[in-house]
Amino acid sequence: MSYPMVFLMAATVLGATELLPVNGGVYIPFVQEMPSQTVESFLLQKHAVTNEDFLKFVKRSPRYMRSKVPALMADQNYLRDWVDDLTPPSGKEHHPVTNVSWYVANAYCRHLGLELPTTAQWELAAASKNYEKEILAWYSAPGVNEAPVQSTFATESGIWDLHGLIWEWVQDFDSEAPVQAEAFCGASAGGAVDVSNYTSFIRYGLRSSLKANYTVRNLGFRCAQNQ
Amino acid sequence: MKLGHIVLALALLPMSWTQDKMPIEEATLTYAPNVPPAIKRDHPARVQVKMTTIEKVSRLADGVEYTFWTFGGAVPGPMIRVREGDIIDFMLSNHPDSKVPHNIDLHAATGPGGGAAASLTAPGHTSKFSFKVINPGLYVYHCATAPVGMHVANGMYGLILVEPKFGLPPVDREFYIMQSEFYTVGRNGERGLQPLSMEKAIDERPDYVVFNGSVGALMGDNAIEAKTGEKIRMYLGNGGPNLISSFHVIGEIFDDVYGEGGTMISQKNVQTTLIPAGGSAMVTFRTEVPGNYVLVDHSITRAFNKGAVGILKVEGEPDLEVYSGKISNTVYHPEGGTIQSMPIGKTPEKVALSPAKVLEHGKEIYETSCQACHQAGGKGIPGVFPPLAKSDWLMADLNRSIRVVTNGLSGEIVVNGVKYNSVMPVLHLSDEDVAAVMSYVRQNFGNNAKDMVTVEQVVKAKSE
Repeated sequence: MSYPMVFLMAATVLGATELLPVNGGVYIPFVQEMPSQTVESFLLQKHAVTNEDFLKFVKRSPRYMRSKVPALMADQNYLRDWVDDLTPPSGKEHHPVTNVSWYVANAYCRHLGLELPTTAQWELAAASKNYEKEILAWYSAPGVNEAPVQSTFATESGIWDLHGLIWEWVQDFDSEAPVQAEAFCGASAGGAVDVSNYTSFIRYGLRSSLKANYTVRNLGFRCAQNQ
Repeated sequence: MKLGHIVLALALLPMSWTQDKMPIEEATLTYAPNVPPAIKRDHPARVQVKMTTIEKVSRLADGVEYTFWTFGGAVPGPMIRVREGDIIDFMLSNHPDSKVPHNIDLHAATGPGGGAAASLTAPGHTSKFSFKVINPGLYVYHCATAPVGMHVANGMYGLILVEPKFGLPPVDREFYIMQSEFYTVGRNGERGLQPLSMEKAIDERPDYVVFNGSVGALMGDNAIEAKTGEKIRMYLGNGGPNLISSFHVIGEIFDDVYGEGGTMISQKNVQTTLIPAGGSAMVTFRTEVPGNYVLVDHSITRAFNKGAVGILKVEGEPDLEVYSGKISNTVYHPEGGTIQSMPIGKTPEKVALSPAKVLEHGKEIYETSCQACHQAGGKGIPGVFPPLAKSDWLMADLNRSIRVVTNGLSGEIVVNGVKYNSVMPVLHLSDEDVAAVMSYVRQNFGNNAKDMVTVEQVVKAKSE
C-alpha cells in the first residue's frame, strides 16, 4: 500500500491536518563538517499537531496515554498539562500538543503513515531571511506562547507557525551532535558555517540539548511525507 | 626522629581526606552586592551547588526593560564561595518556561568546556556534574550555549571564589560587583522593552555599561555602605561580553590589587585596575574619610553616559588631616575680570563719574561677575539661584545686600516666596565696583530704587 493511501485511511479516522507541498532545495547544515544536502520536494502538515489531534491518537493507541507510557520513551513531564489520560487542558484543544517526547511524536507520525520532517526539510520549510529580527525576538522572549495553531504567520507555502509558537521535533534532531562540540560549547564557535546567524545557532543549540525521551513545555511537532 | 614522624604525619593529614570521607554541605549562594561568608573549614568538602536558569523581563534602566537570561533570576548570577580542593556537585536546572537550553562554563573548573558540555540543559530539565577546584582564585562563570555571545549579552554570568587553603586575609566588609554591557535596539534611554541588537553586539557598540545588571543597581538606596576605618575587599568581575573595565573608585586608592583575580597581591597603591572580559580582580582598601565614593569604569563616557557608576557610602568621623573638605570657594576669572591688582607705585586715578557712567560700569560688572548665576535680566533660576528681578529680599535691606556681595552668603533665604539654600561666593570687587553694581541692580530688572549706592555706604555695610 502506498504512503498516500495509508495517510488517507488514517487521516479519515483521525481527521489529521492537511499536508501542503514544500519546494525542495539545498540545505547547508550549520556545522562545516557536514555536507550540504539536496532535499526533494515534500509534504508538510499545515500546522503543528494539536491537543485534539493527539487525543484521537492516544484513544487509538492507549499505550501512549500519560499513565501508561514507558519511562524510556518519555520523561515524567510527558503531557504534563493534561488533566488526565484522556483530557487535554480545557480551552486548549486547538493549541499545539507539547511536552511530548521524540519517541511518541515519531510514533504519532508513523501511525498516520507519515514521518517527522528531517532537520533539512524543516529548515528549508522555515527559511525566511526577511524575518530574522522577529524570530530572534521570539527566541529571546521568555515564557510559553499560549496560543492556538495558525495564530502567528504562514510561509509562502501556507505552512503556519514554524516560528513564534513552539519548537518542533525533527527526525534527526541528534544528527549534528557528534560533530557539534566545538561549535556548540566553545565561545569561539569554531566549525559553524555562519557565526552571525544567531537564530540558526539557537535552533541548533536546542536540538543539541535534547534526548529522545525528553519532553519540553514549548516543544511539539508536526509530520511530513516524502513524495 | 619521633618528632620528625609526627610532623610528617601531620603534614600528610590533609591528604587523607578521600572523596568518600569528605563531609557534604550545601553552598551558601548570595546575590550581588553580597558575598557568601568566609570558609571556616580547614579541610575539603563535597559542596552542592544548585542553580536554576531563568529567562525574565526586568528593569535595565528607568523606563527601559530587557529580557534577561539569568542564573538564579538575577544579573549577575549568585556568587559561589568554596575552598581549594573541594569537590563541587553542580546541579543546573533550566526552568520549564525557558525558551532555550542553557549550560554553565565555570572558569574555576578544569576540563573541556569548564562543564559546558556536561551541563547543557533543555528547558524543564536538570543536569548534574562534578568537578574539583584545584586552583584557588576568583573566577567567572557564564553560559556557553550557542550562540554564546547572545547568552552572555543577555546576562548569564557570575563569580565563583575558590579560597586558598589558608584562606584570605580578614577584612571588615566584602562586596560582589560585576560589570557588563547591554546592546539594545533602541539607543540609551529609549523607553520600553528593548530587544537585543545582534548587530551592535557584533560591532561591540553597547548602549548600556552597568554594575550589577542595571543602571543604578548601586545607587541611592542600593548604594553599598561602610564605616570609616574599615578594610574593604571588593570581588570584581566582568561579564563582558566584550568590554574591558578600567575600574576605579573616585577618592580611593586600592591598597592591594590581586590582579586578574589571582591569589597574589600583584600591585600595591593602585588608582585604576583592569578587569578583563570574562575575568576578575580583587581589591582591598581602607576607608579613611566619610562621604560618597563613586565606583566607575574610568573609560569615562561609559560611566557618564552609559550607566557604569555606583556609590560606596562611608559613614564616620571626618579626618581633616587626611582630607580637609572645601576650605573656601572663590570665583576664578583667568583674565582677571574682578580681581583688581594695581601696579606698584602707581596710584589709581580717582575720577568722579556721572551716575550714568557708574550705572554703565555696574552693568558691565553684572554681566561679567553676576549674570552666570543670576541670569540675564536678573531672573535667576527657580530653586537654585534667586532672582534679582523684582526681588523683595534684595530691596528690603541695602546693608545686607551689600554684605552678600562683599562677604558672601550661605544658608536658607526666601526670595519672592521661594526658598533658596545655596552658596553665594565672596566676590573680590573693589568698593567702587560694589557700589556701581549695587546701583545698577537696584535701578534695573523691575527694581524701583532711584538713588545711587555710594562707596561710603559699601565701606560702612562691610564693616558691620
